[in-house]
Amino acid sequence: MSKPKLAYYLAGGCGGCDIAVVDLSETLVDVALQLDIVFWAPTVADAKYKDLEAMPDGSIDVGLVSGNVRNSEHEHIVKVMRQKCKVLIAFGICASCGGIKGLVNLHTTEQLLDKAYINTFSTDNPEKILPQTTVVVDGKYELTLPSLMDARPLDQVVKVDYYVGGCPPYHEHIGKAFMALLSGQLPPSGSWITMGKAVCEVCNRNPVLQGKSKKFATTVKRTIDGPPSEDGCLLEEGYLCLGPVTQGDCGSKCPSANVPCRGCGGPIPGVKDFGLRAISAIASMLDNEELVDQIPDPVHLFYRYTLPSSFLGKKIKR
Amino acid sequence: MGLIDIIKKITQKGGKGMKKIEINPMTRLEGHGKITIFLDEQGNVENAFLQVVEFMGYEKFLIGMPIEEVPRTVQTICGV
Ligand code: SF4
Ligand code: SF4
Ligand code: SF4
Repeated sequence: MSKPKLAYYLAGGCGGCDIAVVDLSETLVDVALQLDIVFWAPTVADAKYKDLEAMPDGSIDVGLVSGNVRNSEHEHIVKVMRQKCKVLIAFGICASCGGIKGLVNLHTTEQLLDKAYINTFSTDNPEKILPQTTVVVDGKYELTLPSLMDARPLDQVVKVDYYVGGCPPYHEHIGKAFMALLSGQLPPSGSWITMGKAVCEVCNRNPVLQGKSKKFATTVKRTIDGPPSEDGCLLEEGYLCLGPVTQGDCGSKCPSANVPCRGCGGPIPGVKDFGLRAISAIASMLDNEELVDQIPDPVHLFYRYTLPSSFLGKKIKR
Repeated sequence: MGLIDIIKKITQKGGKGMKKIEINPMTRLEGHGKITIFLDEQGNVENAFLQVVEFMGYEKFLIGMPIEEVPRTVQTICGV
């Protein structure tokens, strides 16, 4: 039997998901030997978009896309990926829900460009030059750029078969996902590849796992307000931890490093809008309503990784 | 295939009838980049441009975020 063909495209992401795959090291060697990597751009292989476009439709067994869809080039290549790949996976939270980079949707493109290219303390741009989709240099060299659009998760552009959470996905989890993929033990199309437990359920700080009950938080704290206890639940102590509503495929990495979970693992099974669910989960853990007003910067907290996939989606602009 | 044939294959008309070679994407890096090379009538390189085709917007969307949350947020500018 010939080896399954794999393609990987990084759209509007950071490359961290790519590195997480490479981090599999020994597991990757086993996995890589069983796979024929036909495209991995821009990060790992020296492949061009034209190479991918030239491949026959449906000729690639598995396609991974990391990063969100943020410009016309991403949009075009993810459509090509969908055509060429039998199974398409949204890999990492940017591709699955929009990711941190999806926070651009809080603003218009004009506001974003104005801040980055004109109105920062360290910018010197008296002519107010902004990136253009087409520019002709010296009257003869025509250059083009993709056009910017609101950030979208992959499934708002093409049909997605599987979702993997994490920013980036935790390497042990990727190993398991690849093994499941290679052995054909996958959940129904459209599902998340996850062990199905919340961060709380795998957290050493969880009092419930120690046979105690969870107490309400009586204050709201920021991590700069002082260190948490060594082994108590962060949320009980007032640090707003999103562990209750986040998939715990990372093995509760942040709480074990004394910082609250911010939700990169993606929503626990059955939850469509992570931010809404997180707001209700946190509110229900607070001792009294006044504490809600003390939550600093709720949008960046509850929608840190999922704004483009939320019901709020593109509707709010600041 | 000889070098001339390869160049013929990958070139296209640039602005004002000029030959143009596009290398897209630049690979083995994060932060999508594109190189455009313009050739003169003899097929020699006349000019070349590097473009960073991606724009993110952290400068704007970070505003208002509690300072202690910034390091774990900006690490996603580049994860390589
Ligand atoms: S999910 Fe995180 S690690 Fe992956 S591309 Fe997006 S920002 Fe980078
Ligand atoms: S809320 Fe956070 S600290 Fe508390 S048990 Fe859940 S994951 Fe652990
Ligand atoms: S604890 Fe939460 S924020 Fe941290 S890696 Fe796990 S899912 Fe992501």
